[in-house]
Amino acid sequence: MTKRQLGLAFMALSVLAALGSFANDLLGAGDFQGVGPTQRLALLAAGVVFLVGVSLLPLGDKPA
Amino acid sequence: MSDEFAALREGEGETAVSFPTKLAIYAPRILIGLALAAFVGYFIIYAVYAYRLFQFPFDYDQGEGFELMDTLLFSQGEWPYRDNDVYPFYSSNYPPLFHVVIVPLVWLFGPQYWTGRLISFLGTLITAAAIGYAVQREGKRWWLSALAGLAFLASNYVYHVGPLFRQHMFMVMFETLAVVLMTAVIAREEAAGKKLNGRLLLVMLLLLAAGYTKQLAYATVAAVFIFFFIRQPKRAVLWAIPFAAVTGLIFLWIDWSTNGMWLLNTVTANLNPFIREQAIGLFRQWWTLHTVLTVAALAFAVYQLYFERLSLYTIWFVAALLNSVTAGKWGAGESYFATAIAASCILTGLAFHRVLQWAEKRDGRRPVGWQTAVLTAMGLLFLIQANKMFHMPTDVPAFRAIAAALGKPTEVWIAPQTSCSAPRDPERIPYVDSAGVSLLGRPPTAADTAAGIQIAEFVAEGQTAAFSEDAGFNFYVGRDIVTNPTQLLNLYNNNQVDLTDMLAMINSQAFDSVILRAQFYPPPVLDAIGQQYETVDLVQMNGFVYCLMRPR
Repeated sequence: MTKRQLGLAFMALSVLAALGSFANDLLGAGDFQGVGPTQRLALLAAGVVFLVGVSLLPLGDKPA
Repeated sequence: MSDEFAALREGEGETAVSFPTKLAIYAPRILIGLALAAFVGYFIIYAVYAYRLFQFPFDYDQGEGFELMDTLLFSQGEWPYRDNDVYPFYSSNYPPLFHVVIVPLVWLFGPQYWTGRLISFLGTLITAAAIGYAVQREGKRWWLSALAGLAFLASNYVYHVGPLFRQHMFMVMFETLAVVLMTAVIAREEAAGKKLNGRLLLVMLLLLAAGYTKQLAYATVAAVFIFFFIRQPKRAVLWAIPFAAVTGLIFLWIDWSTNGMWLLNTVTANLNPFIREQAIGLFRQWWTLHTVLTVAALAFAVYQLYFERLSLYTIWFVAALLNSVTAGKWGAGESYFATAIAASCILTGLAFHRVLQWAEKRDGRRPVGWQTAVLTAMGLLFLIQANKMFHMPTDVPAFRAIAAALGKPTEVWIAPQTSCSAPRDPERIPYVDSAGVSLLGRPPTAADTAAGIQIAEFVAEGQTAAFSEDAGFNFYVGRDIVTNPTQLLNLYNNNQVDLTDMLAMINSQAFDSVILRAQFYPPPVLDAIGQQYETVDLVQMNGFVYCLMRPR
């Protein structure tokens, strides 16, 4: 696996995590209207992981 | 002697060495020596605490007696995954391996608390040795390897729970052995260009052992397979399939053997509420206590992410850190950070080794230079870490003198915890811990043992087993162990237990005594106890007030 592939994997995982945190709302879980505090933390973490993924893309074919 | 110290020693031979140069030569040695002394000191403290726990014949931590009960059932050839709806309303919520390992000791010595405490303690020593080995394999510096291994044992969390009859640290041992072996196997395979499937099988068995010691090992299993997939995707998948199959088959076999009680008690009953504030508080405490180890590990992880291949240790550290969020679950706690701490000790050792390697290249054979600066910084950093982890029982005169000499408090004032009596005034506790007020870590005293015997005698005055939140008193007088309050509460909260029979027994005053410590029972059980029993005596043990109750 290369650093670029690892970066893409990070980006995909972060998008899935962000969608997952909203899926929670669709299932009716959670005590808050809109975006709750735990959801906000999850989205923040997903955002950080996404940016880390983006930063790995320029490293190209170096082994991960 | 390591290269860097040899280089410094050569500097001593030179004539007319100035004082600053001499200081630069000796300062790193002194600081590293002091750091070693500090961490060896923590090891002695740990051994003293463990030895005193081995001698204590009652529950020190509330769940210990139930793990002893699990072991006793295994020693009798029975599963501990049972129906909580019928007398004695008991079931385990943990996988079997830790208890099975202790069975021979129970056969030889009976159901004694020291058996599991000894095995757990030995497990932490093996973990520390594995950490040291992991650092030594790459670093070849005995003092750095020793510091990395000892730092794990010096962690407040490892100290608190390492010598308890709890399975958590035994899981960490299997996890660490699996990760260190996996790293060595893949490194050797890549160097030799041939596959070492036999050793890889051993890694899988260690992971299986970790998972069947405690469920929390799933994060380490995931880390190993992520690493394997990054290095060899196809082979990782080929190994993951039989690993998952064997894990699943064992799971199904136990569930079939226990008529579904395994799934109910180890999975369903563990779906506890997440307490966000508890998780945040524990993360803050972990960070404060382990700052140097964590910063070094994080720095090395970021370095590997961008500048070289990711090691398994880095992936393990990140996975364990993420999994530490589960410390916020009701019933979880500080021990959930132990895996992340083990990984951070290895990464710290490896990071320091890399910095030293870099300094060596920069310096060549110069006696004083980057190596001196790096070694001095390392010595200081380990000493800062040692200071952050400070913990010491001060009822030992030598320890008390050391604490005083270091400018630390020699005692703290803590009010006994009580759930069933009027609050009590704070008392002098000869134990100091930078983790703050801790109910774990203070060695039990002769007064605690006497208090335990007093409660056991109270139980013995009746004809039946006590309905007790601690198992130890019934064990001491040879009576049945009746239910596990936290497990019962978990099942009740998940709507998975029928309390009809239990409530009928309590309402008919079928138990001659009730012992409460924290009132962990489900509300209907506490209501029934309150209506049918009354407190006749209060006994304090290990900082808890126990309420001794008789039928009204």
